[in-house]
Amino acid sequence: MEKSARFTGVTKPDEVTRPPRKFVRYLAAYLFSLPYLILMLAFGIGPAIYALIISFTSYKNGRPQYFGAGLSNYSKAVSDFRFGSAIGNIAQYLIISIPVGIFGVISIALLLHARQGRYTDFLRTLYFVPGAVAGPTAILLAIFMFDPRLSPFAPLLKAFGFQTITDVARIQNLPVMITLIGFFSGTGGWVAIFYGALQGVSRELLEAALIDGCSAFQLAIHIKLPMIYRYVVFMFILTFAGHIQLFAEPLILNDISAGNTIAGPTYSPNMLSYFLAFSEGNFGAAAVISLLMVLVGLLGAFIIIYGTKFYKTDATVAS
Amino acid sequence: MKLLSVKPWRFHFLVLVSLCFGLVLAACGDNTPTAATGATTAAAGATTAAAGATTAAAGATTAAAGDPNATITVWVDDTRKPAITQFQQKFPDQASKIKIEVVGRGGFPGKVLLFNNTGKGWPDVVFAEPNLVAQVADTAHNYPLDLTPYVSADIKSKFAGLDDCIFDGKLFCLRNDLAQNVLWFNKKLMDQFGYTVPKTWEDYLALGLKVAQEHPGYVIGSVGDNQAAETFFGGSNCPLQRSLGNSQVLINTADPNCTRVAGMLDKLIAAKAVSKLGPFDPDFAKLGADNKILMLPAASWYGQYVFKATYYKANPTDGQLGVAEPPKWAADSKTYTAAHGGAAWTVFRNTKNPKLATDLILWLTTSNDYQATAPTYPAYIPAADAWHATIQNDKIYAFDPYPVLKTSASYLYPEWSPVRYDGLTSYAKIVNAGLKDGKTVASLMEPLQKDLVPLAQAQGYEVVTKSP
Amino acid sequence: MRTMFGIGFGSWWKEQQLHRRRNGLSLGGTIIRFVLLLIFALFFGLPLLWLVLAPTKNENQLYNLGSISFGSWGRIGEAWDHLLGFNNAAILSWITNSIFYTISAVILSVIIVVPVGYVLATMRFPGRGLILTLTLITMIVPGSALVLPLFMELSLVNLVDTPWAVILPTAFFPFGVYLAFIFYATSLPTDLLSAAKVDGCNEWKLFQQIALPLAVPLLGLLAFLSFNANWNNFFLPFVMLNQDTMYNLPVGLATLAGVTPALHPELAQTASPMVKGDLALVGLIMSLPVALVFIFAQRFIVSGSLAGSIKE
Repeated sequence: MEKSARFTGVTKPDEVTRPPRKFVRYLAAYLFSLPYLILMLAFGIGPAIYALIISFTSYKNGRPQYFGAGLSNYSKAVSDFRFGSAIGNIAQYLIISIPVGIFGVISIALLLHARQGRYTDFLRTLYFVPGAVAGPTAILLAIFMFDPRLSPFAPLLKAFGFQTITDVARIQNLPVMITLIGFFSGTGGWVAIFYGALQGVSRELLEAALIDGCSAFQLAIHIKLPMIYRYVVFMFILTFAGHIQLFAEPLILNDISAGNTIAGPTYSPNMLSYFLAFSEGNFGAAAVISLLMVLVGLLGAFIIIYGTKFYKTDATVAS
Repeated sequence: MKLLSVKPWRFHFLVLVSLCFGLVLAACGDNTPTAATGATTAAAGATTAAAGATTAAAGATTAAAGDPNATITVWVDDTRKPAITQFQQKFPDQASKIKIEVVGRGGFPGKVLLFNNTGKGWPDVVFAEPNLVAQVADTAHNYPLDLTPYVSADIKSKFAGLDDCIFDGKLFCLRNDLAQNVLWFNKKLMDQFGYTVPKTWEDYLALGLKVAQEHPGYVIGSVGDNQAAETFFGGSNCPLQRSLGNSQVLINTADPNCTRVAGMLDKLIAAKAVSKLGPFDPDFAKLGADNKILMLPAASWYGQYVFKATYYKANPTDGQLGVAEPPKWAADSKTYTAAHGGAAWTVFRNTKNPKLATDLILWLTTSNDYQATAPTYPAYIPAADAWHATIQNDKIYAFDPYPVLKTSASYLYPEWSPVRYDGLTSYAKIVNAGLKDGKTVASLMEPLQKDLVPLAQAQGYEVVTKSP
Repeated sequence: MRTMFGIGFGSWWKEQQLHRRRNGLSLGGTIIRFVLLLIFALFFGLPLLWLVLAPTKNENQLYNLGSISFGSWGRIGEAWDHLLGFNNAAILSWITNSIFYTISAVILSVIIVVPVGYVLATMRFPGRGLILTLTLITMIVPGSALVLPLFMELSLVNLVDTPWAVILPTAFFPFGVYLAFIFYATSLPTDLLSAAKVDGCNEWKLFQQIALPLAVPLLGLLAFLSFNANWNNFFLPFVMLNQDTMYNLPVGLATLAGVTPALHPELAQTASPMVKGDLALVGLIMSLPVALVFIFAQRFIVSGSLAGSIKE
């Protein structure tokens, strides 16, 4: 418990520093923050505003005409013949990947936490290490793992009726394939966080419940789960905002089979945005889709900050 | 710890909103000079272009313009990098003026757009397929230099497949190599089975059905990947992608030239004489290793790089591989063939050193120094004849394949033209995937049409279904 | 960490008996738990094992030797030679670039992040709440959506195709600011600061002599998170860098995977000797350092310092 006490004891800034000259104090604060503020303007806020400007920009012979497009980029992006299928695909992927991810992380964390010891430590590390295999490596590894000729999971794949990689690599299987890739490299980190949170659950409470005759399962469902419930909400929002950005996986999985396109170049909204910009030269419509994705992220951010009480800083109550 | 209330939320929201507005306004303020700078650059670019045009007009004889000492950047792939190095060794005084960058050329059109946006960074010479050149030739990219003044009529006439480089009458690239489709066959097996190599697609179909009866397990082709669009549909003058100038394209999968192919393939697929596996599928390669590939309509580079390097690698047999001209449809007056692969060299419109850039690509495409030992079939006919020597003695072939390859190159036809969209990916997505689901080629022609039309329209084409 | 490998079944069972009552696990529950954890262990473990073993096998062995089997040590050398043969040993530049980009980004981000977290936690000044709110927002909104406008922005200032185009944007590390803020807000002894203030310390001295030495565990966590994000960074360098000698390992690997006949038999024209095991070796080179860092850094995360940061 000392931990949670530590983190909730918020310093009251005004007691710390009460110098006579306000100006000097502010100056120090601004000087300390200056490099960060510059970076934030340049790489956090700047590009978002640039995207906003581009979304109203038309292009003539490759030259931008700022604010020359009005709202036409918006209507173009939304009415694009690939927009619907990109949204459909991403919805399909989210519907599979988010429940699987959350349910998996909760199960693993609770299973591990049910009995702690050296085995648990070892397994937790084992689940954590695939996080090191990220990005292109994970996708490349997946190409091999989905190949019934190469994969250690071949018996399983064959049991599902897949004899060759081309049987596996079909557009209808993509949501599950990408979910598995994400689960492989993304789970361990969340398990570690959930596990850390579970360790904050009061030992006295758990022991009292055991004395009352609770089984390990009841303990997990009725006591531990409610304690980490808010982390689940947190994970839901972050994975939602993250997964909706799907880009690299379908792109690289396209290379599984020569001359055969599995996902196509416009499978997800981000891929469509990239394709509109880089293949069709329609930066305006691409920026609209980028902004749409940012908007989803912003929505998640606002829910987390103001709705879930997670980011409890005194900033959110300052005024 | 109930620290949260509604008030601060509102406060922060307001601060944030006002900040955003402030920033947008600030950005707009900043933006004006940027735009102005852009315009200046554009004007400067236009001046350069004008200068280029003047020089170009001044003479094909003395194609000297720009700054002959300026450095040029060349984008190549790993395979062609040695070609540039060879040029540098041959012309040491130019060596230091050439900067080589090995890039994945798929991103070339996209990067050009970004460079246009920022007003700098363009490469001067790029190695790319004609369909990529088609993409960078549109008004948004506006990249390539019209090479017409730099290439004499005599040299032009000695190129095969140069049609793919001509857009609206402008020569935007020089072909490096050709990938004309031919009919590869296993001569030993054909002799053993007592078959003759089909001259028409009708014979090809009949022979396929016969093979299925008499020698089940042997295949005469593959429809497993998007090359089928080029080998079969391209070999039938089917209007899948017939560009009619820069702004119009003819797409009609219901054309009889297309439906006859679909009908033939469906019969051959049902008989299992044509494989649903792609030519690069490991299972298809196994058919090759087991000597079950009787015939395979495919590109000219298959001999060296697929039959020799993959199919026949495990059990090399001398004098087995034969090659024939692509079949022709009996009703047609001539043979048609398309290509799978085959790239070209293109030059940046505003290059600072057009002399060096064009000298380089002329040397690359026409000089025997490089092309005679190049890895693929040279597009420049005299160079191809020199290239002949490198492959004619290869023991894998039953006979010298070169004469057939050469004749077949002449069957490449301009109606099967590079377009600015990726039709092959559509073909794979609709037809290849549909075949895996057990559908027939014929039933997939309409879905293919529906996928191709908006794709072409998104690139600014007007789509027509009938020849004007 | 003390005993991660090789614990005998006997001792495990004994431990199990001892703990069962205390954890409320029935025998059936123990078995179900064991089976489920084993299934997950296979899911996470087998691909790792395959990746480690693949570089020891040639193409034939990869297909025919059984997926979890060892080829030969010599094959690793051969794989390395194949990699060196690609683009004039570009892989060496990728490795040095990866190290250079990652270390620069880690150092820069940590240097920038810690003072901000410190002043946000200890001082109250106009704009502070705004900085905190913007930090929270930028850390939650995924950055990948903004890569394209970022490219245009950096082109305007001539930074594209330079290491800065990769290092500077990744030095912007709002999550790190948030962690540093929470750390100082919760663990800086206020008495100490006030005392130092009375002693006439200025802000810089205060930070340098009191706040910074306190932050060693924080620096570890920040460095770990930043290292992990930057070592695996793909999308940003993919868009920002044109020349293959400038790539980092992830972009290099993706390029290699995109052009190698090992995955693309249709590109056999390059006559490159590359096979699948060689690609696995690149993957291994990329993952191994991170895996080691992971094994040691797990402590920080499980100990709750990360969980604490999102705690009520």
